[in-house]
Amino acid sequence: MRASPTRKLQLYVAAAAVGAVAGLALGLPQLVAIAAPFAVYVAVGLVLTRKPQLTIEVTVARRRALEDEPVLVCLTVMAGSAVDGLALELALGAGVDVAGAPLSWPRRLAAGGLCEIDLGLRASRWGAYDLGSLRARATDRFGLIRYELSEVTLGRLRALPSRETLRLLLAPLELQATTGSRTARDRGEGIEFAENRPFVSGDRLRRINWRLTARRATPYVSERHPERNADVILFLDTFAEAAGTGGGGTLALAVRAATSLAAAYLARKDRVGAVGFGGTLIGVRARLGLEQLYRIIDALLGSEVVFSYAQKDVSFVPRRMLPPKALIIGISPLLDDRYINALLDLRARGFDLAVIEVSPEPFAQAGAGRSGELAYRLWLLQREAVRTRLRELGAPVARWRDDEPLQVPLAVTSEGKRRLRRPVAA
Amino acid sequence: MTETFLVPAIAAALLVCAEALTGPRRDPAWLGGVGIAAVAIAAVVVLAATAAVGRSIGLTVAGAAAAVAAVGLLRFLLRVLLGR
Repeated sequence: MRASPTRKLQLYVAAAAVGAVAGLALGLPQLVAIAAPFAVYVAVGLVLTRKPQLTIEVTVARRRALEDEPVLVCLTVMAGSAVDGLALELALGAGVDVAGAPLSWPRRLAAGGLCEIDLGLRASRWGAYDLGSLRARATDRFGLIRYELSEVTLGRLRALPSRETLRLLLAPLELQATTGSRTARDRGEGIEFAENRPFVSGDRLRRINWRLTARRATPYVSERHPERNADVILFLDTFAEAAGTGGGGTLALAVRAATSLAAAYLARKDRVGAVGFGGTLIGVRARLGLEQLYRIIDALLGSEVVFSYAQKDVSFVPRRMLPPKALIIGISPLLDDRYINALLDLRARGFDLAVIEVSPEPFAQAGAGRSGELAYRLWLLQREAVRTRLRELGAPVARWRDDEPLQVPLAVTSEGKRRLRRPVAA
Repeated sequence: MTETFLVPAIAAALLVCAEALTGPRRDPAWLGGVGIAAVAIAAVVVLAATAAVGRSIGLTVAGAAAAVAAVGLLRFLLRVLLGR
């Protein structure tokens, strides 16, 4: 606790001193009489001053919230002794703002008094935030000494990206050997009926279709499709982003898309992993379950565009991050050649690849003049060339803008994948 | 007598105004108490000065008492008007 004189103390001491000196100099006792109450006030105040005893407890309702969702912060101020001139100064962390009514508090608390202040704080964009700190100041009863009480930190808040409910997902070309919710094309133990065939030596008796056997007078068995799961890798571009002045950008959208996709695939019992490919590499191995969703979100919350000259390619990604037969969903604004080359490399290695292009076009505008317009059109053409090249190699690309649901590019990519699988007419 | 009435009243008025401007307590009870204390202190000083120059103590005491009464009346009126 730090004590310092207030402006009032300085003013009163000055008034007392000026009155006394002027009275003596001018020989006017009236001036001394006018200044005397100020001097007595200061003397009595300094003798009777006591340090205010103040305790502040901070309770944050939740440490995890969705972006733009208010979190209730309860401040409990307890006064051990009478406190006057109470001032609470809230220093919010970067990216955090107050939702609803601003902070208000009583200026005076009696001894043993209790004051509870509810405050709503929110983070407008996903990420890990320092909520800030609260500093309390109080003066003594006479307002002569100001006491600065110790700072109370509000702790951290993790703002999770908002998720979109997705009905249609990209189907992987190949499934894994482990059990899941997807019906495999091959035959095995499962629920979905595939076909009937004559019994051969080695078939299990429980597979015999007794009705068909009775009708045909020869044993038949029912074949079924097994239920398998898939490996899905969300391959995020963190090399470059296009950002607007309002705080939004392609990386924020990409992380939202990745979170929605991870939640949807994990809900269908698929194994999901994430790779942030850019200046720094972020990797989460493909696993199952709700815990994996939070593992991916936690990893993605730290993703940011780090400028790098390093010529990185797919060989920088540890092999276990890209399991064989995995469906790789690239989420990128397709601005950096290193990421585009990595996508081409992945496709060349035989991975099942689809790309959701987080469109940077809403964040980019044509420059002034004819040459600016021409440059913009050339840039658009170059982007179209990249898309065409990816499509030619068998990786469907769909553009996604902030103002449309994520389901739209997924449907487009899904259709693209179906077309690619269709045999070409001779 | 006028002087012994005016000086404590001016002292009280100045201190009460300063107190009301700087805070932290601005309630009428506190301001009234501060005003009466200021009148008393200023009256004591005026009395001491009067005694030192050999003027009439009776008139001085009467002036100081009038000043205390004026401030007390003001405090009473404030409390009545503000309902405290």
